[in-house]
Amino acid sequence: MKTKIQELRKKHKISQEELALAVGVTRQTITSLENEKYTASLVLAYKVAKYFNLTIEDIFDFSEVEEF
Amino acid sequence: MEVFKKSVSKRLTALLSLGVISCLIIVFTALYVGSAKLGKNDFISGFQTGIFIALMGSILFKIKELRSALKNNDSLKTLYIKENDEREKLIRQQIACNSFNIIMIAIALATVISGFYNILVFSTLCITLGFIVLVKASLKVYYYKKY
Repeated sequence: MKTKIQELRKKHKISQEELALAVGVTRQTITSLENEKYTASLVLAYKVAKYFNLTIEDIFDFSEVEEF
Repeated sequence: MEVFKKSVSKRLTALLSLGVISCLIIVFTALYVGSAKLGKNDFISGFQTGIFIALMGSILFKIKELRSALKNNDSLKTLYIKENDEREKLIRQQIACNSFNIIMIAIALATVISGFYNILVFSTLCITLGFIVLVKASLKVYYYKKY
């Protein structure tokens, strides 16, 4: 899933390690999120959105999610 | 974090107890069980001792990790994140699920092949396979009811 995490991180000048510590995950998880290899859970998505003071939809791109 | 600290202390105590028991088993198997008096094979005795030594090594490593985590809040937080990271949990889950299935298939194949050569090996593998299938079925029922 595409995200704007890397863009937001660079805009706020924070490292992956700092963001990981702030939302309670490892740095590798942040890397995987930015590389679109891993999809965050609802709780993690909420924490990341809260950290940047944005909504989940502002950060995570749901346009490619299949509709049934 | 206090709850996690208490659970880490409990785990450390349990590991120390397990370490002591492993030590006693190593000494016991090396000195007594491996003797010719019981007609025990040297290779088997050495293998059993080796398993417990390896177990002891991993216990010591884990004890070191937990002790250093209890020293300060930053290390404790790092350990908490490492153990509760959702991506790590997903990876562990996938490994457990896939390895269980691979091992089950491998033992089934070994059971079939051993049937051509040795009845004792065949029976042992059959019983092992039955046990694995029983465990998987029980866990499936349990988790379907739980969730």
